[in-house]
Amino acid sequence: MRAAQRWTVTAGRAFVLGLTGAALGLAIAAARPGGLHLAPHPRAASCEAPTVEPKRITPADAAKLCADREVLVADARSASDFTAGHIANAVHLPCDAAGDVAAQALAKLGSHKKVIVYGTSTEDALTVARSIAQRSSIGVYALEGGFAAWEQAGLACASGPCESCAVNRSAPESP
Amino acid sequence: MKRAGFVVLRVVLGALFVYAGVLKLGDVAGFIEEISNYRLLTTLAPFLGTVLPTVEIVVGLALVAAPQTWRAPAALLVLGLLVTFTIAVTSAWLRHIDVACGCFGTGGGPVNALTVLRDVLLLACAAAVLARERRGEG
Repeated sequence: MRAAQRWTVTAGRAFVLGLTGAALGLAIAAARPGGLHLAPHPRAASCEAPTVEPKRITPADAAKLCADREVLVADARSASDFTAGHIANAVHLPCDAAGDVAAQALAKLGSHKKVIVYGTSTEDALTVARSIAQRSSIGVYALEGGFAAWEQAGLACASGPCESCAVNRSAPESP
Repeated sequence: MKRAGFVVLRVVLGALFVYAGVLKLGDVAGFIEEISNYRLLTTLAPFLGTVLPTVEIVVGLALVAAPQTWRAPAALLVLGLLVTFTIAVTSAWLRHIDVACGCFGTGGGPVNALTVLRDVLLLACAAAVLARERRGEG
């Protein structure tokens, strides 16, 4: 067999091997509980300077909004701050340059139609809120005054009245 | 003796691919995220993250245990994959992107000069195995 023919046969068999592996991968993914998802994932929140401007919201307005089940509250502060105390039902969505941690948290947005982001300050929240606004089409709000303003206002955030769950103290962070 | 050396090289290379593929298959979501973090083929990341682990396992097994007619194609595919991986890690390293390698699942370290060097060495090994198998001396 000539060299060119041998290369063609080798390349053809390599293609068959690759195709077999790919088909196996797709079959395994399809058989898994979550099913096959080949659509691009939304990018994680990052600290880059994005251009989309989210709406600002006062603690009082946020408290009214967050009783809605379609609203997600996201905590953009550090893991230690979040563990020390956070708004009830908030998910941890830190501003992370690499995006690794935030990508997992961003997946928690799920079917929510709106997200309220809070941080240590308004600017903190805006950085992450802008990042989310760039990467998804849901309504994004940044809490004015940060977590301190929420605490000072003594507000709760849950479906129905819940005076005691205004702030979750020392709640362990979900893994 | 020289032939035995090439057999060991082929088996080790194949086993390494099976090992890497199994680790990635254990956390496909994490692997997809790491491909995305390279900022090269973001839209293709879910597809690549889904198929690459099993492609690595199949090609690794073929390199280790397949009949001789399938070993040269397996070596060629390994070479192709390593060329792609080397381009990806070199690009991330040159762009100073702080990204985890993803080479052996999500537990891999960050991309640095050693990652590039390791991929280049593996590339040389794959090329040597391919040349040997093409001559039918593997």
